[in-house]
Amino acid sequence: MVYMGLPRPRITSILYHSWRHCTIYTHYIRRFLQMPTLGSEEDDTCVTFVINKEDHTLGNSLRYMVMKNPDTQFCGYSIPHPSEEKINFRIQTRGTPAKDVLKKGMKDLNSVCEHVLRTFETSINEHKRRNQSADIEPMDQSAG
Amino acid sequence: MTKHNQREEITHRCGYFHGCLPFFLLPTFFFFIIIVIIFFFFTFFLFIIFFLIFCFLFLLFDFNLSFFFINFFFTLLLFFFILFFISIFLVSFKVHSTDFPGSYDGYDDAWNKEKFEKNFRIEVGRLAADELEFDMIGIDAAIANAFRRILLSEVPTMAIEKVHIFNNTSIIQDEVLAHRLGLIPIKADPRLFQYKQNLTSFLLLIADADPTEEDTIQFELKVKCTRNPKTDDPDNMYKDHKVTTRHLKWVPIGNQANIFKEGDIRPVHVTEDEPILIAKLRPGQELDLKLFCVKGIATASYRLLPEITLLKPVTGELAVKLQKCFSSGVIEIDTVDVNVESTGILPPEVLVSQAIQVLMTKCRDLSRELDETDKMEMIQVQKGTSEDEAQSFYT
Repeated sequence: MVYMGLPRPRITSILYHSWRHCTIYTHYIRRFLQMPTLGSEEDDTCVTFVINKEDHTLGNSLRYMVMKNPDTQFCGYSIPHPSEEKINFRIQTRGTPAKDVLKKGMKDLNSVCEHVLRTFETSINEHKRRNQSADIEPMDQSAG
Repeated sequence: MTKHNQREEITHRCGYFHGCLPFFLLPTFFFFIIIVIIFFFFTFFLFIIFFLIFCFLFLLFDFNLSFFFINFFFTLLLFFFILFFISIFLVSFKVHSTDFPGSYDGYDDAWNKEKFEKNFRIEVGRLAADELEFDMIGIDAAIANAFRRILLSEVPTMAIEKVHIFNNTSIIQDEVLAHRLGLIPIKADPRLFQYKQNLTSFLLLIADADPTEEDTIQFELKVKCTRNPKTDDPDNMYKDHKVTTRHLKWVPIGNQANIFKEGDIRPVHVTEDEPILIAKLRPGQELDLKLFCVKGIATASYRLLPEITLLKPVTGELAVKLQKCFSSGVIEIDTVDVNVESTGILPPEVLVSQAIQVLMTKCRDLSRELDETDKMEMIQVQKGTSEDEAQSFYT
């Protein structure tokens, strides 16, 4: 599968460490930042994740999958300002660490997508076969 | 931020949709609407009764007694209108799915992969070269909406991004011309190309990476308008006065000539009767441009957008009928009716597959980032250093 993401790494900062030379750090743009609740760093069941470069596309679908988890007590997301591309994703759980709940949500969303993709390709191929178009070949997803 | 109280649990569990009014969720609170409608007709009924009593009394007796009933008449009228507006407000803005664990007592709504796979199916309605219509049954609106959003803006395509203008004596300004060129759909399979890598050095600030055969397609647009001396016909007075996508000539880079045949890489609308009009010239004006296409998604501008029109998902009466057969809350029907129209770069079924794969990639990347954040925090704790230094240790 062709790599879908934006090209990396990119320059994000140029730091001057001494008079004589400047050191250039190239690393991934920090996409992910975690904000624990103020004053209680040990309590990892209530966490707000600030995810950069995401919007309603991932936010709403991920929220739905996390809500399907019976461990979740609260889950919601918001976009602090529409001009900035980031979301605040809040999870409160009944005991399990919030990070694990988030990981499970992403894994479930991944499996949903895989199943939808398989079903879709099967349906399309079946439809083509049923209409007996000689020109159209069955869809090949691994082009290139 | 404090933890929410336990007793507020149920009300806070419902996630609210942000933004649009999803009318396709109407069946999910169908029972709620029934109650509202009953209230409606109840008050309306009472209103009619009191109106009739008022008329009856007015006709048979004098005014005094009938005015007594007018009071009830207007009170009910007021109540009627208040209820009407409140119900509209409730219906329009407060929309949420109810299929979350805890919404219904004793009913297990937790995520069940097998149940989803058993109930989910896709029915293809129509499949043409540039149009596809299909139904997704058994999927929630949140995920279907994510696919819709990705289809509209995050499926990668090839489009003109950089225009080198050597000569432009037309009346179309440089930037307007470049903008128009960027909107032209280019028929090149984006899966065969890679994203353009940025220079990883100080030079990025002053230059751009050279176009390579793996990430760039080059076109040339050289048109000069001249007068046609042969005819007096006003329609044929000028030669080449309409610059269209037919004048875009592909210039192969590297070994692209070996991989792609002549005519593989072109703007989409070239072979039909109506190519896209880019500019109009008059005698003496000319255009001399070099165009570079790269792979990208519609992050800031809509120019890389495959043109897709989607109908809003519609749940028919059949869905509602089925829901009535069971007690409320047992059946949650979510049917999404999707209509995909492509610009012609990629066939529509490929676009949908790409959209689903984009969502999978987002999840995987985010998972990986989460794991990396875990590792970085561990390094931070062990080394006891600041965040920036921890990052440099990691890379």
